[in-house]
Amino acid sequence: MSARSFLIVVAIVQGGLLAALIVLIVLNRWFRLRTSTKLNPRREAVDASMRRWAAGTTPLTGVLVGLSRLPVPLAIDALVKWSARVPGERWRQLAVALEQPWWAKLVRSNSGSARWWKRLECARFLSVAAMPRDSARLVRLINDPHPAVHVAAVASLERIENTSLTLAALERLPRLAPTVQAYYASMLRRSRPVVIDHLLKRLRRTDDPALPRFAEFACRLGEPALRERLTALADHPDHEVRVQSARALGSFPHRESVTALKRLAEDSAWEVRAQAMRSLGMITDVTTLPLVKGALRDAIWWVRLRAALALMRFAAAGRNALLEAEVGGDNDARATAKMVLGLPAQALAEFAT
Amino acid sequence: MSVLHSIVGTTDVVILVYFLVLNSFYAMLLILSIPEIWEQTRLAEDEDFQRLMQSDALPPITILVPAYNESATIEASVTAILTLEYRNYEVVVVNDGSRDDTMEQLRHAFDLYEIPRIYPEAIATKPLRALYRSRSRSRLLVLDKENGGKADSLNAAINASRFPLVIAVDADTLIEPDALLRLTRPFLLGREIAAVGGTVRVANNCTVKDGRVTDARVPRKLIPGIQVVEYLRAFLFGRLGWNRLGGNLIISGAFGLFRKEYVLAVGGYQTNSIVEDLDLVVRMHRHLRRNKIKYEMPFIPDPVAWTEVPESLKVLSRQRERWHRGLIAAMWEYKSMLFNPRYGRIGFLAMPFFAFGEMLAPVIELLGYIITVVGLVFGVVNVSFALLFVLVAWGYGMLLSIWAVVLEEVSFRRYRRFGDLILLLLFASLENFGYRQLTVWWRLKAFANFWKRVHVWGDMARKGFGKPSVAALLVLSLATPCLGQSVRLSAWSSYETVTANPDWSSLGAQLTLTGARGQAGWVAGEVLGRFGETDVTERIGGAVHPTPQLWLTAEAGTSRRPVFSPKNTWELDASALVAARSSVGLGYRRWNYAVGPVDVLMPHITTESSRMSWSMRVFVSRNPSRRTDTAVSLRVSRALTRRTTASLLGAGGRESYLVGGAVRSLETLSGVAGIRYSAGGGTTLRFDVSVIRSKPVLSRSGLAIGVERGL
Repeated sequence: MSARSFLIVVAIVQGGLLAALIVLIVLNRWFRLRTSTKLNPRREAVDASMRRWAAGTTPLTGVLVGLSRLPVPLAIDALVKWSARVPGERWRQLAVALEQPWWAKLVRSNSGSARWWKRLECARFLSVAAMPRDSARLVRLINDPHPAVHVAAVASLERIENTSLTLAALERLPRLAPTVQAYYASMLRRSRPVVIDHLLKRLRRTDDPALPRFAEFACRLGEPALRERLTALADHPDHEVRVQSARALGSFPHRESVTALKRLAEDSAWEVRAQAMRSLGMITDVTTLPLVKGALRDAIWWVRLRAALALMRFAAAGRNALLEAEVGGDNDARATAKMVLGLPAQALAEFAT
Repeated sequence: MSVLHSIVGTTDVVILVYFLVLNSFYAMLLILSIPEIWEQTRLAEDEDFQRLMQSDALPPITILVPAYNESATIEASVTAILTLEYRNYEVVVVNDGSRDDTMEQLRHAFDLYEIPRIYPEAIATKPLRALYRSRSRSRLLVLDKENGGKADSLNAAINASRFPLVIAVDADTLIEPDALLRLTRPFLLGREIAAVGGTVRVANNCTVKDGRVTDARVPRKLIPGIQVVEYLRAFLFGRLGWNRLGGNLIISGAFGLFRKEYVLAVGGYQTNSIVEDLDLVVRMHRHLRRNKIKYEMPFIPDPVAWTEVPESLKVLSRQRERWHRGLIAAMWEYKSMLFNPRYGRIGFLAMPFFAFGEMLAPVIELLGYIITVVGLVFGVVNVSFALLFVLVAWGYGMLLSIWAVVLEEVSFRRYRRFGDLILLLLFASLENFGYRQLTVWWRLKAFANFWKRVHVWGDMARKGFGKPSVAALLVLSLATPCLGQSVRLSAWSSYETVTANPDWSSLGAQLTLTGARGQAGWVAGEVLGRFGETDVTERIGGAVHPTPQLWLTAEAGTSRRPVFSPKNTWELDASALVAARSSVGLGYRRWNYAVGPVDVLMPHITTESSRMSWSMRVFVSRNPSRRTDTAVSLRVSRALTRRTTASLLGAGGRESYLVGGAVRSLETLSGVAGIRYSAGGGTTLRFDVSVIRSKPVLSRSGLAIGVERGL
């Protein structure tokens, strides 16, 4: 084939493709318009029947019929939307009823699908309509490799209490990125008894590489039952664990917490010292005032800042300590005290978070 | 002819292979963009934002808003940003030494009060004047600082930010309310994200209400309309395709979310970079790869920010030239990453694509046009074959643009009206006829401007100078008042190309009245273009002969817009005839700059033979930093014919000029060759060529023409 013939073929193919793309664009518009014209009334009908059923004026049948007339993704969207508006007991009735329709069975069966979007659909459905017998499916979905799937599946913990599910989520938590960990933590809080029981066991395994993450989660929970274990972690060799311990102990104004925090305030890692200062400021035990005041002379800026902010919470005594430091001989302490004394209440509140 | 034939043939093959490889790569990006946009659309549609917003999983974000002379829009922009749908964010607005009342507007609109500085300076920036918090908006922090440019402002904002993720937003960019929420999706999906980019769309012709785009429309005008297609193409298939290849090199500076720890690790934005966002992303890739940190820099198509694009060719050309110059600069600066196995896909795929595909594309395209024309002129290339080739090349460009429209249609469909869809298709078709060739030209200019700067890359490339022109100095030192017995009008113009600076130009005129006994008076005006700025100066002077052997001249000048020229100038000169054809004299000049005066003493001696004239001047100048500079010039002129005189001038030494806001000594070596032609009827024409080598800056060469006419 000569170069000219080749170019002619390419030009013809291009022309054909261009025409096909333009037809595709126009057809796509037409198809979407037609679909939305057909589906919008059905979607509105589901919303109306949901509203009436939630108010107790009509039976559940209308909702189920409406949902069955929608394409599956739209039916799941409607369920997710309404799940936040309908009271729990009433919603459970719908979840029970959703065990029967063919489309719900089909969605449930997709939990083992090879296609991630099918599994996502299933996870979203089960996050609002799971029944106890779906726990095996949900465990599988929580362990799913696709992040969207397991993030959707873990939301089911909001609605069902199941030990295996909770443990599956808790086991996965340390391996997740910080943002997802926070999301998991917010879901796991609802299953507190199981979580605390498991955490107590996990916090005892001092050589566990996931210990810093569990300690962080325990810190988020702020549960008094965990105080003892968190206090014990103050002497852990890993400084990240000690940071979490120092952070958590601020929520427990207890004699042992204060003793541990005093030790942590003199830790070799500055991150631990800074967190200890923050926590001492939360507890405001007067016996720790000289220690916090002394930290104004720490070599690290963050520790000095945290110490100064902590002193502001010690009321008059702390403020006087700062005023003293402001005219004292140590340059760092003077600068930090001056800066923090000049902060408005709003900025102080922001630093407290 | 056979040599030409083989040159054209070989070049043709090279260009064909280049375009085949490049277009195949584009085709691959196009194919890869399909599953990517499908997945992204699917995730965007399935997302339960209500649930996310109620959880405390959302990472806190700091929004960085640099503002320079944004008085008119700053309140609306900041208010729109402060009402975004996101739970945990703060806004750091940086007033970058605005000359208008941007700071006052902020102070008034948000009830600001000053607070002490409460953070360490992780990245060095221009000095901060003050920090403010708002009584009405607790999320807002305002920094007032000395002017240092956008990158410097962003660095200052990063220093002040409290949160681990930062997003840079231009004050004139409109962010959709849920855009931040959508941008954080990759973080929630648990990926190791270093930065995320969102889509930037064209806001021209859209309806904007309360800082939000309420109705998306395609502009009716050609230039912004074509840019809509360009943006769709760049974002919807270019960057999505790169997502699959793992090598996104561009996260838009107008809308990109970065992990702060990595930005700090690479030292923040580079203040001397031309395109700071590309530079930052390449440095981040380099840092993360070198340190073997697992990361991704994905592009997410559904978070949208709207921006106004240029509507005039002039502004657009400047923007495109700057973008391409930035690309060249980045490729040049990070050339060590090219084909370097240490940088994985970035070194082997992304950098070569951007260097050879994007950066060199205009050069190859120009070469293609030239070879085609040469081939056609000499009959080496067949006309119908050339036309077919151009048709195929343009058809492919059109196909890519229409593909971008298809992706928009099957995914987000922001343009709801059918008329807008037709316009998109029309602009996608028209783009290849004229617009594309213009962008090739602008990008070629970027090469020229880049090479002018490359030798002094670093400080000199971006210093703004404000100082008098050396050419003007030479003209003044050489000027001889017209000694006619009447009224004479002279006009002149000059043009010089300056290394590492925009070109210089001048246009001036002088009216001289000469009395019967040689006394004279003159007025002159001159428009000077230097460093991209324009000054207008005017002078008035006079010459008297108290005795036949003595001349006294005086001149005073002022500048109407003293950006780089002195506020005013004074000059006196006394010359005496000491022999039959020789004179000596002493001149004194004072140039009052804003930063202080420069005083110059100018002893001079002139001697003439029947056909030649020799004139030597010494310039001893004292500048505000109490430094004394000395320079010498020698001018020789010779009458070639009755009407024509040629002159040569050589000068060298150290001279004082205003450079970058301070008077500095420059080491100069100058050569000027000129010719004067007396055309008769009282008209004289002048033509000068000058070459000046100046260290460390302001080396230049140029042409000057002048005309004098007796009235």
